[in-house]
Parts: sequence; structure tokens; C-alpha cells
Amino acid sequence: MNKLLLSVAAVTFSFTAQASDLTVLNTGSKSGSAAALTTALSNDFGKTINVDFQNPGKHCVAVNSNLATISTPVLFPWFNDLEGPGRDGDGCATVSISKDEVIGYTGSPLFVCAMDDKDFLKTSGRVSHSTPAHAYARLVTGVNASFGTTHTSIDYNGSGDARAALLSGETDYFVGTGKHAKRLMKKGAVCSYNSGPDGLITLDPTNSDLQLEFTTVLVLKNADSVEKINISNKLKDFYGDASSAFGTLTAGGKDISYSWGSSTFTLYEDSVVKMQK
Amino acid sequence: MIDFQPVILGCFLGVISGLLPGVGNFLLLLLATPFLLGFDPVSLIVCYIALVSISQYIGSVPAVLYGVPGEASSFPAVLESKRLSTSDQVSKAISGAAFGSFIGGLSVAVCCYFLLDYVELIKYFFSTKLFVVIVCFALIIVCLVSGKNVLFNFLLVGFGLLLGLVGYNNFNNTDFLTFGNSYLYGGLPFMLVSIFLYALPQLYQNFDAKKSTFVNEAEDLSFYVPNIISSCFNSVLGFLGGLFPGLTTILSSYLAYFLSKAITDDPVKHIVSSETANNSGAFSQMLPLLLFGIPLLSSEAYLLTLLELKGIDVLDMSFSTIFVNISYSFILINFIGLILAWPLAKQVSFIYSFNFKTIFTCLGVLLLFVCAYIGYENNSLIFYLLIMLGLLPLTYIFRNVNTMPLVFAFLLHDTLFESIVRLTKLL
Repeated sequence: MNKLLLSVAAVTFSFTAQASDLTVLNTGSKSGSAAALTTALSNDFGKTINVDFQNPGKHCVAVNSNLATISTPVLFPWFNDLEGPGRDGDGCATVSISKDEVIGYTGSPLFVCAMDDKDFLKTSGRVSHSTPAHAYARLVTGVNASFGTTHTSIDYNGSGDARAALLSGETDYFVGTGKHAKRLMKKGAVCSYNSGPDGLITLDPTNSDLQLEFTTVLVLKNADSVEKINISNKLKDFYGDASSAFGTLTAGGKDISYSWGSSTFTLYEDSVVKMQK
Repeated sequence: MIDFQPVILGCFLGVISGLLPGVGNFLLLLLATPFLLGFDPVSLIVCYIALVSISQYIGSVPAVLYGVPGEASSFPAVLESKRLSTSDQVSKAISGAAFGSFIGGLSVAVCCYFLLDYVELIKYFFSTKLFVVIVCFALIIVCLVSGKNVLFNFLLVGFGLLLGLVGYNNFNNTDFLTFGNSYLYGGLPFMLVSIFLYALPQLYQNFDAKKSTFVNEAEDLSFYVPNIISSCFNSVLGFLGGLFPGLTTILSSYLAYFLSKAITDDPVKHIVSSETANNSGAFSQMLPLLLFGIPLLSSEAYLLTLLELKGIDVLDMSFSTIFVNISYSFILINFIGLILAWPLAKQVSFIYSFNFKTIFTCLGVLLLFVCAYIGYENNSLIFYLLIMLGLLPLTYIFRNVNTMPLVFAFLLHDTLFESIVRLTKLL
């Protein structure tokens, strides 16, 4: 009953505004992996400092409106699949990030899954994937070019819908990140190929489109050096703490592996270039 | 066997969601997050089911009694409430909607229990072709049954789709009517459009209506029993509608309503049909999440996130185990819903029982406040206020119009356009 009363109190007092020490900004959709990441971070940081969690639900709005007006320390994830097309003038937003503002980095290759034993490199079919279409389609185009297949790329509004398309038989293959590939495998899918350094690229090293990673950097803007050290250290603590939301989400690096420090900026920049035309 | 805390919290949130226009399930989940994180995975799911189910039960009460749309799937009930001319009709609509919801919710759950081995077959509903066909069918029907002037209804649909296009579309990397304003990249908020172009005109149209005289009569049940077959049909319809991403209970409710309108002219039956279907859809919308880890609504995606934050992948949990675990709670939730939405209907919606015009005026002001508050929460207060100002003239223009085709089309635009583009690639 106490929990219930607390819940009611929380709903009531959530309406009370507080001055924040850190803004955590979700630069992705309201319900995707960026939302999960930023929700975890705002929960963890919120236990010790005042956190203002901003969740506009569209990266265009988050970057062009929210981020542009925040002058206090703000922590947010940013992605090479949005930055690459953005720099090409195809997207609605780019984020200017300096090396010193990057405090964390993670990358994930794409996986190719099918519900049966069809070989992606031999049997052509429809390939479902999420948006931005440009990024996913690059891998499909790369496979077509290297292996003579004629796959058709079909984009869906989110990886969940793309998975559903494979399950229903609307498409023959699914291309997506490891998290979604794992879920499909639990439903009987076979995920034979990936776009990591030990994946498709080894079959045709001349085609750079076969190696593709979706990368995320954790960016801290408007922070002085002391704030940056404090927040970075806390972030690493959460990562190693199995009881924290961030530690649970990443499974301490087993599910999502992070690298730390400004040195990862180069990795991010390289991955952005690979996402450009 | 039953953990009462998530049931009670979910029911409490569901009552708020069902009673107050603009306060949706997603917002309430966000507000209750710190305490939802304290629940174990099954309790979390139970709490969510309670929230969704009870909001469907409760949504029909202010809709029927006072013409106030608590949540979007109650829009048909709001429209039909104006045609309830006697206290007998109101009583039948209330009891019928509550019993219909009860039967709708429980019957699909019982069917799932007996068909556990086959329930995964719902994956075949994840079809772009099927979705486009059903949505186009629904749009045509809404134009045919929403008033005498069919051409005008089609124009409203067109206008709704046009409003929906405003913003930046990730699907084809284009923006439409944003005028370079980055806030508009997110499109016109659905909540503002539904409140200003549907809820406020409905409040205006009901402003001078006589307060409903509602009497809880035991014999009301006798009206419902002969309609059990129709109720089963609406349950099936609602079940299917609940499986469509982004629409779920709204499509369930509208499909049943439109078909009912095509069959009969009885406003009570229209209300019962749509309310039966939306509770059935409230259950089926959970199945893709629990079976395949596929959320159909943003609130479900958020539930998935909360589970992930607890280190749980919903696919690691056996569906049959979850189902058995939640089934007792689900039965209890439906009994609570039945009691709240029928014998306690007056008490639940007591805030609407004072001076009608005063309440409606207060409600209008409250709606404006809710809009502004959500704008503030999204750090977009000025943007929300400007959009509200921009929509006000349309509210005035549409004050005597049935704008359901417009709002329905606005709600559908995103998934409809994407699906049509995708269909051209699939064919």
C-alpha cells in the first residue's frame, strides 16, 4: 500500500518543476533504443543530481529546437546514421561535435536474418529494415553489387515493424541491429551474416559497403572540465553497476559495449563518413 | 496469485486516462515511471493492462453521459450520445457499453487461453496489403456514415490527411509546410488537433444539451442479453482491429461503430458495438508485444523499455506462463471496470454532474491548460500556444460539424502514407 501511495504522490509531484544540474536529451524517437538509453541515464543521474529529461520524440526537433536553446550541461546520444545523411543535406539535422565533447562510444554491426535456410548471398528477395532507409539500403546494395543478387530494399517505420514483416512472410530477409536479430532468433530466425569486420567484408574486401556499423556517441555539451570529469566518471560507474538502469540496459557491456573518452571521436567520424553518399 | 498493487495503480491511472481528454496512457506511464520501475516484470505488465482496460471502460462513461471524449476510442460514443433522447436509452447505453466491454475483454482472453498453441498465427496480420485495404475501407465507411453530405466528409478526410502531412517525414526525408520552423518538423501534435478539431466542437455542440438523466436499472441487463451474438462479432472485430500498429483500440472502436451504423440506426447499439470492440482490442493489442516483442503503440514501446531497464527481454518470458500469471489479474481488472463503468458510472464521473454549462466551460479551460502543460513539458510551450491559436479559427469554423472524418484521417495519415509507399515496392 505504501508503494501505491508513493505512486500517487509521484504522479502529483511530477508536475513540480525543479532547477536542473544536467539535462538529458533524447535525440531519437519516443520509443526506440535512444529513448531507452536516455531514460536509463536520466534515472541513474537523477538519483544524485537534479536532472531535466527532455524527450521531444523527433531528432529534428531535439537538435534544432531543444539542443539549440540549452545553455547548461546537456548529455545526449547522437548517431552516425543521422549525421551522415544530414551532412549530405538529406536529413533535417546535424550536430556539430568537438572531440572534447565526446565521452562515450558504441557501435553495432547490422545482421541479416531469414526465417528459413535461404542464403542471402544466393537467393534474392525482399529485405525489410527500419529507417533511415539510406543507411540500411547501402548494405543491401553492396550485397547486390558483390554477389549478383537482386534484393529489394523495403523500409518500415521502426525495427519492430520490419521484424513483423519477416515473421509474417511479407519479406524474405530482415536487416537490423543485434538486439533485433536476437529477438528474431528467439522466434526461429537464422541470422547468418553481419556487416562487422569479420562478416560480409571478408567475402569481398574490395566492397566497403559490406562493412557498416551503426555508431552512437554520448555527447556532453556546455560542461566545464570539472563537470565533464564528474559526469564521465559517474557514467562509467553506472556502466559497471549491475543494479543501475544503464548497467542493466547494457548488461555491463555484454549486450552493448561502450568505449570511453575523447579518443573515440575518430571512430565516430569514420563511421559518419561511411554513412555519407 | 494476484498482486493488488499494480492492479490498483493501473486502475487509478486508467480512471484518469478515461475521464480526462488529452491525458493519455503514455503521459501517465511517463509520470508514474519512478514507481513502475519498482514492479517486477509481470506486475508491470498487469499494471499496464489495468491502465489500458480501465481507460476503455471509463472512457465510455463521460462520453455517453456528457458527450465528453475521455480518450480517442470513445469518439463514436460522444457522437452518438447526442442522439440518446430518453433516460432509458442512456441507461441502456451505459449498461450495454459496460457489459459489452466486459464480454469483449474476457471473451478474447478466454479464446486465447483455449487457443494458446495457435495464438502466434496473429503474425499473419502484420501485412501491409491487409492494413491498406482495411484502412481505406474504414475511411470510405467513415465518409458514408458520418453525415448526410458524403462529399463534404471526403473533403474533411482530405483536410485531415493534409494536416497530417505537416512536418518532417523520416520515411522519405521531406518536409511539408514547416516554413523552416524546427518545432513544426515534429508535425502538428495529435493531441492538439484532436482537442481543437474534435473535442472542443463536441463540447460546443453539447453545451446546450440537457443533462443526461441516468438511472441504474437492473432490467437494463435484459436489453443486453439478446445482443450477445452481436457482441461476440464486435469482440472479434475489435480483436482484429487491435492488431494494427498505431491504431489498435481506435481502429477497433471505429470499425465496429461504422459497421453498426451500416446495419442499424439505433444509437445505443452503435455505442455498445464500439465500446465492446475497443475493450477487445485493448487485449489483442498486447499480444504482438508479449509474443514477438513488437510494440504497436508508443505506450507499449515504453513498457518494453521499462522491461529492458529491468534487464528483461519479453521474449525470454514464456507467453503461456505470462498469460496464466496475468489472467487472474485480468479477470479482476474487468470486474473492476464493469463496476466502475456501470453501477458506479455516476460516481466515477461525478465531476461532470454539477452545473452542466459551468462544468463544460471549466472542461474547455482545463483542456487548454492540459495542452499548454504538455507543451511546457516538451519544452515547446510557445510552439504549442501558437498552434493552439492557429487551430482556434478552425475550431470555430467546425463548431457545428461532425469532424470525425477529419480526425480519423489525421490519425491515420502517417501509417497510411508509409504503407501505400511500401505497397508500391512490394507489388
